[in-house]
Amino acid sequence: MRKIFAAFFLAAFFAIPQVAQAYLAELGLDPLLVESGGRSVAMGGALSGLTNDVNVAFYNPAGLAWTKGISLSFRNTENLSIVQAFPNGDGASLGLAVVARKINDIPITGGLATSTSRVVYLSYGTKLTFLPALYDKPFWQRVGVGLNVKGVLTETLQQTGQIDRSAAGWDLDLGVLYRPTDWSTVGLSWQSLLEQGALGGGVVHWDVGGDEPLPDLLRLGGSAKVIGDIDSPIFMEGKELLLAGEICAASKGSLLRAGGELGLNRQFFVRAGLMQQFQLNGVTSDFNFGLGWRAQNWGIDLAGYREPIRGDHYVSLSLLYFPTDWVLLRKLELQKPQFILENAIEKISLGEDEVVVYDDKIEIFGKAKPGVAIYINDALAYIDEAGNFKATVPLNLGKNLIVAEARYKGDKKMWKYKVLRKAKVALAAPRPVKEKVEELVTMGVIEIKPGQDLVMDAGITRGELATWIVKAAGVKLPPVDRDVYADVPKDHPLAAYIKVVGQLNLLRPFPDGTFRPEAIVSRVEGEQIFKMMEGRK
Amino acid sequence: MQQCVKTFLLSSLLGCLVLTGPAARAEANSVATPKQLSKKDAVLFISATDFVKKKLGDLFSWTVGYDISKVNRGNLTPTINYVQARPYRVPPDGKTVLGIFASVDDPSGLKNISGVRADLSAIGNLPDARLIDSGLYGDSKAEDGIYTLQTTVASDISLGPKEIQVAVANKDGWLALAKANVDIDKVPVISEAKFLPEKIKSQNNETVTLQVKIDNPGGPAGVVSVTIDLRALGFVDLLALRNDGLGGDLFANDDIFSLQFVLGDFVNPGAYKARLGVSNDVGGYTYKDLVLQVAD
Repeated sequence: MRKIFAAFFLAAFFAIPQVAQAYLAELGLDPLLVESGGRSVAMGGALSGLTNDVNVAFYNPAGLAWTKGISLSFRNTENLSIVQAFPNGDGASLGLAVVARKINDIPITGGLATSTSRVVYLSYGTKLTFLPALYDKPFWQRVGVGLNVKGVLTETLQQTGQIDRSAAGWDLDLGVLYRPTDWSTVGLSWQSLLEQGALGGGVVHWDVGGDEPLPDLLRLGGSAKVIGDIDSPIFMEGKELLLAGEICAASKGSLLRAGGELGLNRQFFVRAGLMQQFQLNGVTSDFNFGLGWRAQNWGIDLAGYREPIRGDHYVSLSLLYFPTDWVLLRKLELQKPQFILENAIEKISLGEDEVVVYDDKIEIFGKAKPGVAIYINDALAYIDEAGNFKATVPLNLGKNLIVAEARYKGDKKMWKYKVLRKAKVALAAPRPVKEKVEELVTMGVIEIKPGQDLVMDAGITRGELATWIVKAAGVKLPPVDRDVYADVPKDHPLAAYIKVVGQLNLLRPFPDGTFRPEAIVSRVEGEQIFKMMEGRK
Repeated sequence: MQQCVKTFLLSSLLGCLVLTGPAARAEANSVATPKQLSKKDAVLFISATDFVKKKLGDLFSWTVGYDISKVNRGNLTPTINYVQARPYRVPPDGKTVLGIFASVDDPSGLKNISGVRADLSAIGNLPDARLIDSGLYGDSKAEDGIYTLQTTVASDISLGPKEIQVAVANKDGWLALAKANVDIDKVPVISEAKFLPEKIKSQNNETVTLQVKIDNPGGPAGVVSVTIDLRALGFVDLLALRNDGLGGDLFANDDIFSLQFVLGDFVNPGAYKARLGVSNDVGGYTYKDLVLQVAD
């Protein structure tokens, strides 16, 4: 019985149609080869290794596991596509796409041809962590798989001197995508993979009789966000550089595609790409360019590209909608963690992400949903039974960057906070002087040890002044391999500073060859020193 | 000699006078004279320099300087030196005591540890059971950083390896995680069995000792019987091995069970198969066929 079933299944899967036609192939057409989306075409169509674009459904359905939103792309009313990916809240997305395409006046022997097609995609992309055995495995949290069931609802061919023909058919795509790091992705998809006639797919059935095979295509792609947020190889705040590449292999040849996207403030994007496409006789190569803009829930992408069949250039416009309540992972939708600012001295109007404090530590707190882990500066925070966390972060003097991450099943959401810790100095001095001292201590120019009093009316020693000047100027300390002066041996704690001011002739030694670090600087000498410094700038 | 001392003192005094010269040696925190530069003056002078003004601009800028190097990655979290579950193999009987031991530390000292908890849901118990370091309830020493918990494995737990996650939190709100492995099993394992001497001479009335090492889930106390079938050698019944430190058994209640017997005169040379069987109090049973070599 099992043998009979297997034989039936194999026969259905590898069934060969009786008559093979090539109406579309003769014109170089493939109704299931869709290049859609302003961002995708601007980046040369190298999308099979990308995750954050809903148009990835046309290139690698596995990318849907990390995608959400709707994209409407069109170059005119006859050529448009709409694709949506709706996440289920647990690492999977259901996709639906409709593509309408019309290519007029394709030159053929003895006249012109026009192709009109309507294609529909039903897609599903998911991580494999829905399997209980893989639920908490970090590797599998970074792997997505996807499937497209795509149908040619109608493909109509009008040719001069011939009767109109129309066809319908269907095929499948399979894809897999792996994110080895937070900033890189590799993807592989096999498009139109059904054997000719298998399960009634892999072909279009012509109304005039005969089937025409749908050519399959293998895409191998990768992408890397080389410049970006703190988890990218190069951290540049407000700037992103994404590079993507793809190799496509088909029976009629192979294609190379590459693209890049430069983003500013996650709002404005400039894109460029090399796009190779199949033509009737060979391959065409073009450089594409595009622009993008993103708001909180909306986006617009523009791209210039060439349609390969006629070789005409077009501009594609995409409108995007990605509402925040369409969450990829609802677990990660938690409120931004906040600070406890018991001793905050200032809140900058730019927002709560930027604060100035005096304390040497700050508490960050919030509430997380069950299963979500909170990391602050890469350290795991304790979350109580009610989901609350409150962790104390030590602060260095000056600038501090605090990174809070919510992690759940391999996905993460990140917030960054800038904290400036100013030095608090107990000083009996007028406020302007006190503020200046605090600034100099914060910058590390003046060092006040615990318990040490800084008496502002006291005379400053030559050693102290040498230290302050060198630290304020940011001069790199030289190595000291011999005694600097008779009374400044090479192991003197201020030897390097004294060597610098000596080399710069700011503080000269005494005639007897000593420097006398403990000697008080005279007012005249001090004024001369700062005059010289001003002169040198 | 006196002349030498006088000369030395005089030269030292002169030397001091020369060295102090025009700039007076600083008295600690003494107020500067009008001819001296005070610290306040120096602060005002330095603050007025262009490079300090530029540095101040950078310091107060929110758009420059906040890079990865400004992320404080100091050691904040508590550390877990090790986590152990003892015994490693435990039966799911609801009564065998399983000890969880976690050796922990904290950058701010052990007093900064706010709690150590274990997720025992894999063995059918509380998901947040507390480990203690009070010297009570199985904890051998108070405040030594080794936290302890005694628990059991519920009888409805499936057999096989399980993970017990231990979490240590400190008072600053940081957490460290580690896992201990435990194998839920019922079946005892005969890890070693030997006859002493290994080769026995026939018709020699030789005393033979059988030593068997048993790894029983939950420990040797759960072993109900260890028997050997020596009927091929003329013994009428199964012989029971003992673990009471008597009759050839070296130590009581360890994992080595022993039996002493004398080979009868009628036993001819040859290889005799003897089945060793072990059963425990949770219904686990195992056996091993041993071969006793009897020589001429």
